[in-house]
Amino acid sequence: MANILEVRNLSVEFKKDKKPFFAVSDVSFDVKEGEILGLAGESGCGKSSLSRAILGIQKKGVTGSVKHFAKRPQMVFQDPAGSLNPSQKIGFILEEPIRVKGNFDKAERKRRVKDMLKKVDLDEEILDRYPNELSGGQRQRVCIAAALMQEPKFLIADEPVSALDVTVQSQILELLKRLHKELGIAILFISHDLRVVYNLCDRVMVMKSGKIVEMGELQDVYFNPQHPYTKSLMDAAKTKYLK
Amino acid sequence: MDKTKTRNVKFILGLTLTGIILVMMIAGIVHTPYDPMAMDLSAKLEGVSFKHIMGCDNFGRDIFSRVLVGVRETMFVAAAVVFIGTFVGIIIGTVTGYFGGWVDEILMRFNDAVLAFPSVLLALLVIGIMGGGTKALIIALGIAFVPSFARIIRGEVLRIRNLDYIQCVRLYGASHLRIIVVHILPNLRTVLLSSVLIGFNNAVLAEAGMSYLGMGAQPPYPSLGLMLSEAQGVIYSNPWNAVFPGLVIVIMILGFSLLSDSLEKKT
Ligand SMILES: Nc1ncnc2c1ncn2[C@@H]1O[C@H](COP(=O)(O)OP(=O)(O)OP(=O)(O)O)[C@@H](O)[C@H]1O
Ligand SMILES: [Mg+2]
Repeated sequence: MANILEVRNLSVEFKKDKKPFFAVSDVSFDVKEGEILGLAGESGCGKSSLSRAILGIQKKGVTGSVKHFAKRPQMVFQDPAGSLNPSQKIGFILEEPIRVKGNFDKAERKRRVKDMLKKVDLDEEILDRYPNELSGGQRQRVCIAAALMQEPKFLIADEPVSALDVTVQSQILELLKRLHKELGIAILFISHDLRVVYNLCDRVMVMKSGKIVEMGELQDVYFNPQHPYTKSLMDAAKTKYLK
Repeated sequence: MDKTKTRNVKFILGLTLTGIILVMMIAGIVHTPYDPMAMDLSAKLEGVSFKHIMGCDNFGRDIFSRVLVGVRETMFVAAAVVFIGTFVGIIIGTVTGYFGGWVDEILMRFNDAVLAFPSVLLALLVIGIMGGGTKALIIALGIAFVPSFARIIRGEVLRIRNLDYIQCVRLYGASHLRIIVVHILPNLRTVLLSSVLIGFNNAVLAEAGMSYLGMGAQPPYPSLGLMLSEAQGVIYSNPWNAVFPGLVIVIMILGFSLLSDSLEKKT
């Protein structure tokens, strides 16, 4: 499989109390077409900083190279409340990705939005509502739908389920799994929940304090971890699952 | 529960007071009992009566009629000042907040300079150049009001432009103009509403103050501040000359502040 993203020696530097601080340091990896690559790591290890740097949202303090082989990669954010414009209706929000490209007329846009709603299991009556009138799960479905409107080939999902409660989490994960199968889109899936990563991903990277400490096939990393940090993570996870 | 109750009381009270002012303003436009500028020396400093419910001033002019027109004048100046302040403030605040960098540096330094400049001095300068009158006052106060609006808008734009939904729209490939106009400006309305109400209040006070100093409406045309200033000479013998225009200013300010208080953070 060809690569859809190549990241080389990527670092993200912030100034913390006037001292330089690397949220991401010297990270290199590839994402292949159509795969789900997991990025696991505890809170604050630099996962969001890495994804922001990859998509060019963060530019200051970023060094290294990022090569995209697919145009217009999209992102689903951690907090579904902040990723929808509070003063626009869902219908407007979902049309926006294909409206800014400007090559569809109104009827075609509406048709595509309705198609997408079916894909993410949302009712059409939602189109006339505002984001604050939706549940967390519905909002995240809307975010996923919006991210897919331009038919991207690569998507970053930054902890798309951590803000949701457990039953809704599994619904959204099922949805992502299904969409991945239907659309063949490559996903960089970020999570601090090892169980979720295990459920969804083909390969996995483990991040600690801004560095990728381990990367490989899911089974290898989970059952034959090399790095002591990964080992401790897996042991902790296993005792949790057994309970 | 209790908080919403006081908020409702404030809202109703504010609405009532503002309502009174609006009725006076409309009366000032449509009909006044007497010609506010007509002098009647036989009625000079006449007291409160059914004929002149607020009495007459030093030139025998009906104070009630003058107050009605004065309200209109003050409201007009305040509205124009706030309009200039918000309009220019939105442009400067949005550009600096959104683009940042050296544009931000330069405009904000300029902003600070204007802010540090006493507005009375600024008004004197503009009025000196333009030769006084209402138009000069509006422009002078308008300029003085821009920085505070620009600062508020800039802060809000700075906050919004880093929100995730703006990043989403950016990833769709939307232009800066579209992001600003469609996705940022509509979300400024809550902040704008409260700052416009507060700004309106300050403008009312500033207009009254400037006219009091003789830098606004020119006699014999009435304005609330000017009437206060004219009442100064007879304050001991005929206090109502000052009391009524003063009272109306108080009602105006109180009404708007109660309204803006009750509307704040309601959303
Ligand atoms: N704009 C910023 N300025 C300074 N430091 C920052 C900034 N953004 C993030 N950091 C720091 O960088 C580190 C990594 O943050 P990041 O948000 O990437 O972590 P994360 O792995 O996504 O965490 P979480 O799982 O909680 O989302 C943290 O220590 C954070 O405090
Ligand atoms: Mg994060």
